[in-house]
Amino acid sequence: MTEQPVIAALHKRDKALLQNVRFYLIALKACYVMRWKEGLRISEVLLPLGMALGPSVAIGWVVGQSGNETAIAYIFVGAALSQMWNFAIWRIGWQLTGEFYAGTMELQLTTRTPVMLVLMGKSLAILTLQLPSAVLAFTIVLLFSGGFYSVHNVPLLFISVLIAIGSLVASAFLFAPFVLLNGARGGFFNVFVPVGIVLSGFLYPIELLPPVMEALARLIPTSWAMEAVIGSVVGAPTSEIVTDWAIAVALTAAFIMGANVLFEIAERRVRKVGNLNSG
Amino acid sequence: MLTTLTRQAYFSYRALNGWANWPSFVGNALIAPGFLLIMISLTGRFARDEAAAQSYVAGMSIVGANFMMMGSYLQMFTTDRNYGTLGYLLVSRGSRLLAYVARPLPHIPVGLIAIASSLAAAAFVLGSDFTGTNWPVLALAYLLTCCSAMALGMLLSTFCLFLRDYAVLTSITQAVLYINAGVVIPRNELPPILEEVGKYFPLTNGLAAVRGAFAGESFSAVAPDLGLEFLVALLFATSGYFLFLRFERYAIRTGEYDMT
Repeated sequence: MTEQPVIAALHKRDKALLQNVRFYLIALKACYVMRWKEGLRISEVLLPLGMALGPSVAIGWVVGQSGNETAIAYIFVGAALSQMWNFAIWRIGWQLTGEFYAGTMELQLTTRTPVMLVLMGKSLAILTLQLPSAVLAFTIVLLFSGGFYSVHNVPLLFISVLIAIGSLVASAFLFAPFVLLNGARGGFFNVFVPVGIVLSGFLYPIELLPPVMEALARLIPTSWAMEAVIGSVVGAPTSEIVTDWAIAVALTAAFIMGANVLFEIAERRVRKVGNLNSG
Repeated sequence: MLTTLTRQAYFSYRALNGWANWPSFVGNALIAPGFLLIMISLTGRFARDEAAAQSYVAGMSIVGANFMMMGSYLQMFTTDRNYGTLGYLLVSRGSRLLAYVARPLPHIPVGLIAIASSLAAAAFVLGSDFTGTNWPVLALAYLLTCCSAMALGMLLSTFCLFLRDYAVLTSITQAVLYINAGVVIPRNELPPILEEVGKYFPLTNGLAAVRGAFAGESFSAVAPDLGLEFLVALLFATSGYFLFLRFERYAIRTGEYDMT
């Protein structure tokens, strides 16, 4: 084979790849927009606020009464993220349950778009819809604490929070294939809500956990991102914070790849047995 | 009558409850309540001190159980409606009172299991020390509090039948309980109006009795709290029953469920 046809073949493959990426992005956007529009119903907007209210007031009171400036600055971020996690897990789980009940999951499995992409679009929309509950949690902690407390390095905190949000998305998404295999049995996924919050260190540094739980927490990207958050608040060395970022980003990437593999396994299994309740 | 009650309780639990399977049961009754407790207690340990962390154990054990009981109980009514089985109940000649009372019964032991798992988590993870607890009184206080939580559930259940988006209502009710019942915030630190209103809410007086039992108080010392909790539960359950009868009349008259 001469050089020219090889290059032409490579170009053709790249073009096909690009075309696929384009189609995938279109599918991702469509799924996002669809779920976003579903979420604009008044009850959908009010529900996360109602769910966030009780825990936010409790957490706000605990931390606001303490006068512990480090804890207050940390929990400003952590309370907001924990509320996003809280509702996102719950909603993503029910999203799948709803699709099973409505019979739309079968349609998704017969399309050429990977199920992971469909659910990622919807999950991102669900997480975006949680922003009001995150703002509510933040505001409640602010009201109880009576003001902002000094943060040692605001730019580092900002980047840490962004990484924490990315980690949260990846972590929330990893459990979806298990729900799919489980036939999205209602309520099975509720357990991920408190377990995720406890192990992610949203509300306290994970060193406070018993050794076994701390070891588990070290495998979750959000715990590293939250360590970077507290480092930015108390003025830890930049190198330490950057190390936390690097580990959080690496684990986030591993979670996304892991979710992809699990989705492929789940999809294959469902297609093989021809039964969605194959768990 | 007892046989019918038992049958109704069992079949409604098995057939209408999406959490009546092992993965959901283990997750919701054995794991989630303990983790909810750990979450708030460790926040207290981080922000405040060890005493604060331990002070949330009693309240959070009830929150976890309430979360489990309400979640599994209220979904039965949505399922009843969505599966189209509600119509059969409305046209049957069976006792409404029996059906109304039977449904929450299986959820009470499940709530007690959730409480036991919370306390186990507190002992193993937080190192809570329960020596000095008056266990018989504690068991009674928890039992009554679980019954009271179900009484609130019985009132809310009718809303689940005629409101499509009942979840907002139930989530706000849960938030009010979280704030008013003294779960985390001591009731004497609440604004006076909330403190007063809280007295007439389920869980509030039961939680006071639970705290008393943890402190080793005798039955006679916590009896007023238990008595008040019982009356509040009775009031909520009775209101729920009359609301259900009203809903039934409406559904039979109009041939539809939605009242909104």
